[in-house]
Amino acid sequence: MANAAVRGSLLSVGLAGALCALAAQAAGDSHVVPGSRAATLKHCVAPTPFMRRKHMELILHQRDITVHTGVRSTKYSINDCVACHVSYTAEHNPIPINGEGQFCDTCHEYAAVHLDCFECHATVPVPAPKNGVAGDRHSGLAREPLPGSVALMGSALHPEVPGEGKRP
Amino acid sequence: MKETSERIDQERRAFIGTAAGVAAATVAPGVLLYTVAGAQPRSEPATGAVRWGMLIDTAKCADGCTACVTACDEENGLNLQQKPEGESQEKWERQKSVWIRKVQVRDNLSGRISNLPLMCQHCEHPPCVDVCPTGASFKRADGIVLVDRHTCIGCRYCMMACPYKARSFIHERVEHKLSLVPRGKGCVESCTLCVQRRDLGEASTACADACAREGHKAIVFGDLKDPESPLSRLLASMPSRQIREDLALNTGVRYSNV
Repeated sequence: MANAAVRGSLLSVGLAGALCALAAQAAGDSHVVPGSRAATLKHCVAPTPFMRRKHMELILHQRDITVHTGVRSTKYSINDCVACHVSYTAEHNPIPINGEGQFCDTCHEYAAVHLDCFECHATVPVPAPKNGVAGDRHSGLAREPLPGSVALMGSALHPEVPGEGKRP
Repeated sequence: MKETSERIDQERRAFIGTAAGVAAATVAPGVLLYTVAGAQPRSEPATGAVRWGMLIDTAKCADGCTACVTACDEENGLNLQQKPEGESQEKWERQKSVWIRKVQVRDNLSGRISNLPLMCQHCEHPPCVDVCPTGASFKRADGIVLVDRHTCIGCRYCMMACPYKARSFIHERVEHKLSLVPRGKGCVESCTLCVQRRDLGEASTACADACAREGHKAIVFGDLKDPESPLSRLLASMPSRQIREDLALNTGVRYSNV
């Protein structure tokens, strides 16, 4: 009887641990790719948890405004997403943002949500920005004072959230 | 009876236009404007205070010159198109996207030949917008006729409706595209009057610039509603015509010396 109780509690602890690990992988850790411009910023154009849940709605709304009224100066822009989140090879060639292990791919793969944006939109900034630094539109965003380090999206905003401060 | 059926029903067209306007207006609330120092992308919606258009002087358009076509291809990433493997060259020539076609017209009686670039004419009453079942074909407030590729289902009714054969359909996956000109399989596309340049505040179109660079200056781009614009002055000073005037589409692209 005592054995059964121990086994039961061990099982529940194990299950809880597994769930925590999954949750951490899903939401806690940053998926910002090292070497991207985003990796040098404290957070995106809006707080990270908001961007994680709402980015699709932001660009869905934005696309209608841009296509139908021509407004291109807004905070939300898929070109800026790409310019900021794209990472580079050792030879400074941009890696497609929806490529395996890249920024869009990691979460969309995990969530099993098919990504249609890049059927039409460019996956790297084309033509490549002349100064070698993509998308300086959001230069007003707070920068992380950690040169060459890995980005921690949202860590400044939510330092208390466990898992947000570390990368696997 | 004959007269009734031949009369252009502008009222019906106006109704559809209003519907498009209402749709655009309902999108507008909630816009978060964001101004940036330095670069000046459009921050206010395009308005009907301007109407973009062009005048093409066919007398200045040189036989064999394709500078405008090449410039258009480069501006809009059409030069990045690749022939699908196994496709015949003949079929590819027929199916690849072309936004400007160089056309030669010959007067049968006199034998006089005119060269002209033919692209989307940016009609005031565009037939492509009339027939589009999803609202993807639309006329922007500043007169530019566009395809919203997010809503285009690739039915190609607009291609059949266009009297100028101005539109192309993308048959194959697009591997290479420009950030400012998204293109993808299954959508119809045509000349946008370099809409990305309009929104970034540039003065002209790629084709007009290229034509001027070649020294022909056959294409003049500008605002049809501004009586002081070089385009309006030119239109006021010389005879010009619309292609297929009989359709009463009030095109934004005009031709002289045809």
